Amino acid sequence: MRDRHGVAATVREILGTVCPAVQAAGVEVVDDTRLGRDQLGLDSIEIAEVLLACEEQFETRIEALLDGTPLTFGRVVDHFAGA
Amino acid sequence: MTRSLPRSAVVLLATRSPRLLYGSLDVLSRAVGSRAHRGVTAERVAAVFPALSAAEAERAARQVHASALKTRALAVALGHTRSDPPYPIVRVDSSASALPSPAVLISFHVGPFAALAHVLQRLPGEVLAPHYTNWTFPRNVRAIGGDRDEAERAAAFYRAVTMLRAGAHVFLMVETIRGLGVEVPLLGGSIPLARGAFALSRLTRVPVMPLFARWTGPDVTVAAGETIAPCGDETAQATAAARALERHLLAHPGEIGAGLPTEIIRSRSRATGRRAAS
Repeated sequence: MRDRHGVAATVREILGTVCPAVQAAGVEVVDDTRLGRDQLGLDSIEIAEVLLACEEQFETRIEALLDGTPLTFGRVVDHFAGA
Repeated sequence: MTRSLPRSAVVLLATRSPRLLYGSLDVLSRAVGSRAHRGVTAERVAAVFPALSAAEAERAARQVHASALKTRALAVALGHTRSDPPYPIVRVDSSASALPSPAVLISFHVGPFAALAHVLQRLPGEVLAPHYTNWTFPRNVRAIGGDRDEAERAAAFYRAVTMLRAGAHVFLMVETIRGLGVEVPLLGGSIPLARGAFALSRLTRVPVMPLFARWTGPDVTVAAGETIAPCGDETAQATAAARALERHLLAHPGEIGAGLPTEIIRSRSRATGRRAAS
């Protein structure tokens, strides 16, 4: 298990790196925030890039996140925090 | 016109005697004439390919019609066969005989692109093809859905990255989606190309290789464009892919299909309008 706050900070940093527009827009990213076009605005390639970068950073595979349910910031953080 | 042919007859002929099927459709298209094919007249072809003579444009328009007819029959055959896919006789040009490995193999919605699967089945190992189609694929081609929603597309992209990093091939049809993707020059106009293939190349540092299928009478010939090296610049790669498509279409204008001429002519009009306004 990793510190959830630390993981959240890292995931936010990765989001800002992959999608600078999100960071520039000052969008508040909370657990319920959906990554996709309907909320945070990422397209499918950007979503995959964020997950790939997190996978590399945390050395944790992401298959469980790809079950077809909408990806939220909280789900991603929980996954890499080991929750 | 294939709607009026019994599906079972198309599948049977495609399986037992593809040259008879596609050769007959060639004869049929000449008998009916290019006027039967919506929108693609010799005038429209000449507008897209101004270097063609009137006779060449007329011949290309007839080829567009014949190609469309045969391509629709091929789609019917592939969509209604559960055993080995019934491809036409496919000749592989020397340019496509040795593909880099791994590679992001791409093609466009021109010509009998479904026949490219015949080339894919000769590749070593598994080939991932993120698609949404009802076609029967060769056994080594894993078609995964990537067209339903965003989550599915992200999952397909992730799996494609994983496959490429493991040394396998990925095959993608490059979609042209107005308002999305990268706008690149083509035949005096422009088209928007979806980024997926070029993003894969950027992330995995794997080259992109365009493949083109064209009808040569009742058979299909597959050729490859120049390898597009990974360079971290998706726009540059998309531009190179469009150049390869342009070279293919300039050499074989009869394979342009119905949609692309409209897209190119409209893009030229938009560009002219913008210049007039500025």
